[in-house]
Amino acid sequence: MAEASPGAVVPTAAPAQAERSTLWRRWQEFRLIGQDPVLALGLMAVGAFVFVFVVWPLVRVIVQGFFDPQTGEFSTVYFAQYIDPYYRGYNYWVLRNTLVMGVATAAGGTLLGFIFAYTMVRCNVPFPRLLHTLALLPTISPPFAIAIATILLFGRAGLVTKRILGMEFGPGANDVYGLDGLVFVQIVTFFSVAYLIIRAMLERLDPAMEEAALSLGASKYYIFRTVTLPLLIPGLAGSFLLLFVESLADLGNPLLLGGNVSVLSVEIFLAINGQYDQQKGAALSLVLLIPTLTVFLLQRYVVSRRSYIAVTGKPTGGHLQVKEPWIRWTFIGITGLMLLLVLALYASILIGSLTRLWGIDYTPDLTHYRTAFTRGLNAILSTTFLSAVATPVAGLIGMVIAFLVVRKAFSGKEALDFASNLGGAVPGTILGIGYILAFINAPMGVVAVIYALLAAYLISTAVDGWSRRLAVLAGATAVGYGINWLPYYLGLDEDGWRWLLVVGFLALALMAGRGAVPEKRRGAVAVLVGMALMLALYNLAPLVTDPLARWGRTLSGLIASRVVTKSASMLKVFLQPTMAILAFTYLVAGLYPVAQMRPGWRVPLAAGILALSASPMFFGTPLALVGTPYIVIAAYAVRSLPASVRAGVAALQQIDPAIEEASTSLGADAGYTFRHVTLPLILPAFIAGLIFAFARHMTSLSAIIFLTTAEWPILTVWILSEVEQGGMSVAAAYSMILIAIVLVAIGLTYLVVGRAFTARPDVDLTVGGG
Amino acid sequence: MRRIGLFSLLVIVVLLLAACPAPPPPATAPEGGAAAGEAAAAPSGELNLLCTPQVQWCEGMKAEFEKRYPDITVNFVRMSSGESLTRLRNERDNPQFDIWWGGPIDSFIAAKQEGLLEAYDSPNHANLADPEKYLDPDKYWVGIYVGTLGFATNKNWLAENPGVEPPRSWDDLLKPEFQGQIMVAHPSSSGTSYTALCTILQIKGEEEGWEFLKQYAGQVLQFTKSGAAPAKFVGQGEAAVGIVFSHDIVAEIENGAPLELTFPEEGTGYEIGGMGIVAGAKNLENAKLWYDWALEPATQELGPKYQAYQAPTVKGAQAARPELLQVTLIDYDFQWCGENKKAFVDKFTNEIAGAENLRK
Repeated sequence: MAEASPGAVVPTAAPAQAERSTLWRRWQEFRLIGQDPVLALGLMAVGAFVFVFVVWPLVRVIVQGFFDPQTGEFSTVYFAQYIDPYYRGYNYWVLRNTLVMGVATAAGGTLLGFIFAYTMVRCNVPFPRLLHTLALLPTISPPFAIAIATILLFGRAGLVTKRILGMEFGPGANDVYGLDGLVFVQIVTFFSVAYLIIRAMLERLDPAMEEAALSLGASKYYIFRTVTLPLLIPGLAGSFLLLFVESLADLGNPLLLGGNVSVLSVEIFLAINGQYDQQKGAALSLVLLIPTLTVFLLQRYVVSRRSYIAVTGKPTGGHLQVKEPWIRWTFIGITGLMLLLVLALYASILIGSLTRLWGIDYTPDLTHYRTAFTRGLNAILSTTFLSAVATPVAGLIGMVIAFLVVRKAFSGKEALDFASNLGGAVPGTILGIGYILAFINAPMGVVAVIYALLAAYLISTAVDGWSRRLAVLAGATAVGYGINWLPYYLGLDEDGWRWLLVVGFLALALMAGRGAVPEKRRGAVAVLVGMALMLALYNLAPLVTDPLARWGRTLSGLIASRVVTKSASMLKVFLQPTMAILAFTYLVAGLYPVAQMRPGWRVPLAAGILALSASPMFFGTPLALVGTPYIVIAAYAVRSLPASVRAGVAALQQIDPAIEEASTSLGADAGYTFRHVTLPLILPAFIAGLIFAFARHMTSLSAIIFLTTAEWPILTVWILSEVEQGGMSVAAAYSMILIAIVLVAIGLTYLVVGRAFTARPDVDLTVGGG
Repeated sequence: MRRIGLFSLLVIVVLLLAACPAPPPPATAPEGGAAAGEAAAAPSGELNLLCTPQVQWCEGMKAEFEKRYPDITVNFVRMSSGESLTRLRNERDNPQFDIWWGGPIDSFIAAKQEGLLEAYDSPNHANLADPEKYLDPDKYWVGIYVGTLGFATNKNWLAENPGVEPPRSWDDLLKPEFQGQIMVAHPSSSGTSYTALCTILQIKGEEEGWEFLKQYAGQVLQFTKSGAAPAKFVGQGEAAVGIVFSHDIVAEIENGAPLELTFPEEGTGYEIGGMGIVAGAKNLENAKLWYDWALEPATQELGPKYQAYQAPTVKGAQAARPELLQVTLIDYDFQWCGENKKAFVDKFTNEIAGAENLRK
């Protein structure tokens, strides 16, 4: 980003300063950011999240690939295996399988997606909305639902293969297990994504060009070949690349259907979960990361920049419709057949979940649902709850990033955009391994960096002069750190320590009451009292949750009892957050009361807030999140972040900045403008983004599989285990329940926000997942 | 000067903080003591169970334990024994589970070696039928059930392929008619499959055994994650033969799956299912309650209620299917298999599963 020459930037700079002038300019920029509180706050909150939950775990994985976890020595043993003739054969075989699978799925899915999109946009197909909805079914079902259905229908004992066709599978027979079956399942699973991308492209295609060619006497085929297709190439390439990545990242389908064929994602899973070889897992992750990142960069910097179609925000005029009946009906026919297949697959899940023993006894019964609701109730409740909590988190962070990226100029913008997309684009297994590595112990270095950043900003709003800043920062931190030792000497327990902090915050509130600018006094005091209240609630939570859990256990009905008991732990998620997370919140929220103080009062208040935040920040093992529900929430939010950002960016680009500028020039500040002008305009897209985020959370597997715990089991992981334990039918029942939950969520949102969907039907579904 | 100021400030603070030792969690010791005292009065709270046998049994045992101690909520996750071991290793510094129940003891031996378990001298160890065999000399793990390996063959498939006999020896598995028809779990994730692997190595000796395993891997249709899964798949007709613990086969037959159970004549391996408290368990008192409870004869007789036909290890408990143990057994060397588990699994994963004959 140091594109300008130093002299040009600071023309008046003395020669000695010119050497540092890029740094100087960067620093000036940061100071400017610091003066824009909305930008500074948003950037710090979002930047901290992205750094902690995307960048840091990925760095940990990359480092782990080069170090022996036992001895800590540098070693490249697993990379050397790609050269070693003894291992080379197997390693290249796995790599080849992975790439063949990726290319075949991407090609097949894109072709199918194109046929679908062309039919829907150009062929005047009957029941367009119904067909559109059906085509989107695979995006809201668990990642291996299609694999289950395929085994039910086309397996060795499948309904079609065995019952209808009477096929026998002797030695060496070609069956659905293996690379071909895997590619089939992945195509069906991922073609919806291709369909959405290409459809969006086709709809935005300006018909004027084709009409011009037509009036010049070109034939239909000639126009398609020389006008339509070249215009579509960015869309086709984009879809190809995305499908390639999705296919490589997929874990559920290869685990179920791979047969004797192994691919990288399975090897990584086995290395980590079977062999307990973190270095091998991390090294293989790096190998998988190379094609993924290449494709990600290609898509981001080459393909999307070649797009010839401007997003004007205005709908283009009518589209050219295909007139020749044989072309039209061929396309409609293929689409119809394909949808029938999709329908058949889903019907087999439904019927499979309702029959006693698939393949042997087709009597309908409900035992599988009974099993699912008793055995898996905890998983159903946990997953729905965590997905729902992660949804606004992802939505808010995504919206803030989108706002910063579209409306603000600052250095590091590209990095922020890139990093926020990265978390959803890398295969989930890699992110999951990164989370285990990064958060099993307290990442003290990361906590310290973030604390230092936030604290330094807080101090800089209150204190002038860097030596005084350093003194206050060091002093307040030392005091806060000292508070942590107090209970050790006073013999207090953890609750007592928290009561101590509560008293401290109330004292600060008193101080704020005296020292604030009169008209802002109430707000400043309220924030500080709120901080005290959060800590007090933490201590008081057991008074509510324990009796609730106790009462739940005494309830007679199994379901009622579990639901009540579970709701006690759900309450705890809100009332008893990890101390470090609370401390981050305090440091950010503390900016407000400090800004409302009269000059003399700022320093003591800032120092007080800093000390009282430093204490919980470094209490115990901060951010050792493995095993807590927060890490699942974070993983969910990171996986769906790119989609939220895209939704936000697309929505914001539709709004002319002039509207916001008008608001600003009429005297509204940035916050008021955002709340009263920007937000209402982007709300529909925001809501639509939320729904897709929720669906993505509910169906994600590969990152989460390493993070589930006994207290918070995750449905997709549970299903994968139930396929082997309870059989296909139980797994099918779980899949139906999951689909139903997502559908209910979509329906509820429809009811609440009305026509959110129709406002922007092409919300970007296309990043991350699996 | 000023502009370097904040940078150096940041750097200094970060260095300072990173250098600081984390303060001890304040006064947890006296508090823990108090909590333990309370627990003795009326056991309550949570118990996080790492459960390796079939999920149905896990679910049943959870319900039975909660019936016995109504104020304790049991949370469980079912994981194959290899996955469980990995989990415990990953979470060594921050354990999420309190007790590990079930799964062949080779994994428990490995876990003990790595310091993942906590010794507990339960009063109910006296109930054991054969303490020498079923109890770790240092009391880190205890045996809670016994089961033998068997072959499950789909009867319908046999009917469709006249002249084919179900396998009755390990060598039968290499017959051409079983090419691509055998299902077994992956030994890295499943204790069942590892028991089979170690049985073969003991019957045939290491050198010949690995040669056999190479050919055997070529016969396999799909390696599953969990050990009992092949019984399901074979029952459904997805494969012809599964190598599974016999009690899991019996349970599937009871569910209506058309399976025939056979045993290898030259001798079959068997498992002792283990149990151990996780080192650093956060609900230690409740874990001990479970441990004691699991060694009561009445508890061990609960299995068949949840289609678990493993034989009990304590005196006074009746085996539901004694015939499963009345077959030729090899003198399975648990110590040897446990100690070599990582080496054997690595060898299998890196050299056998990827051998030439698998790449068609």
